[in-house]
Amino acid sequence: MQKKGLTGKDLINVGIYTAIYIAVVFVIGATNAIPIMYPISMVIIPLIAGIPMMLYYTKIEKFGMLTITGAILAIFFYLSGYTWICVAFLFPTALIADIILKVGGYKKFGVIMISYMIYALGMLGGPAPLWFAGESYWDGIRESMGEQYAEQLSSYMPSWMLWVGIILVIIGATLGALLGRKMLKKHFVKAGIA
Amino acid sequence: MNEAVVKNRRLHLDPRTKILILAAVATLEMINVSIAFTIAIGIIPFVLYLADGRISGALKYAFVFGLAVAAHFLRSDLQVNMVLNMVIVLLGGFVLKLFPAFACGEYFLKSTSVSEAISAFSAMKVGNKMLIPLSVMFRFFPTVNRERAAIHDAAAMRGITVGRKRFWKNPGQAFEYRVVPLMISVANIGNDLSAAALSRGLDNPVRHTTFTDVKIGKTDIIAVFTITLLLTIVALISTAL
Repeated sequence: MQKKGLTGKDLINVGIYTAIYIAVVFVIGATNAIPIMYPISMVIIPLIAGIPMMLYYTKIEKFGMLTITGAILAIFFYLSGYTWICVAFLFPTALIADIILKVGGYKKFGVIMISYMIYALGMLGGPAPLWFAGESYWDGIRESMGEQYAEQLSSYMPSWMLWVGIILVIIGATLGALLGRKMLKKHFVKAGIA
Repeated sequence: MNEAVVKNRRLHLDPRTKILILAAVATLEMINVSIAFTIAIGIIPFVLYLADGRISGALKYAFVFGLAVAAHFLRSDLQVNMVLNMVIVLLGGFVLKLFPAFACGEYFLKSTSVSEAISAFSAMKVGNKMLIPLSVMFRFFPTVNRERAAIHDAAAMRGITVGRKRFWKNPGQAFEYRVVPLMISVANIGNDLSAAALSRGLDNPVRHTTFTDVKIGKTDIIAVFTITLLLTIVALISTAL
């Protein structure tokens, strides 16, 4: 591999920080068994993942690392049963986040923050299949409550959920980026890691 | 790492077969053919658990999946209140549609050693750019967990675990004291890992040799054939009815 491409060190960093991101998503995502936690986790996951991700961003100096992270996340979540919808979310968001970083520069905090916002949106691929798994629920409503009621309910239920999700994730990602930067300055730079 | 598991395993499948089964389950479970088809898919991880000798895992899985099936059949008879009904049916649908792949994934991780997985991935011609991060991840999950446990012990000594009063006096700070050391040790482990791997020639562009050889054997063919046959028959019969 030439100097310009990704080195072994870069790829190892990809593996490490992808693993941490998955761990954060899974640990916090496990609370989703309680449905109320769904919207809350959309803020909490990007908020907490902000700390490792900001550390990851200090290691990114080349195009491709975030894209590979996105590809691994997509495969991982696809195989965990989150269907192709999560692939459609996770991979493009990571790719766009990577492009933003390449265009804007790897060391500017403003760019990193925007890039992280886009990247964090990929997480919405997780809850997305639930709207589909919910179909058996809609069938149930149709049987018991009638077609009209079901249509009314569905007319305003799922469509706005996605938009609310996007807003929640962006709020969480902004806070997460700020929190991550604060932690970097407070601890990691001092320790000589970032 | 998993030597004990390897020795005791009753049925040994090639990692590639497991990935194929996993991908098939993850894809097919979302297709609405019929409830019988969904149940048939749900049986696959149960059998895999049993074949791996993990009886308690199989029973736990069967219990959860069985509840979801019961919820599916009883959903119109459940005349509890609206919200509770929604939660039950939604959770049931969630388990029915997503749990089989979760279970297959768990089976894959538990029953495959790192070296086996890596040689399978390289046999699948996965490029270095994917292979290195993937192998690092495989090795890294247990490490992170050990570090987390060590930090938890240290924090418990200072009385800042979730169950204690001191944690809630200043939860933000307590949280910081947990996450920051973890991140620092993770970053350091990462550096060590890179140094160790590079000195062993990770960057070398030639094909790497592996400790474990993977081969697709009779059991793999039989397993794939049986699953295909089962799912086709169930799909055909249930749609014909």
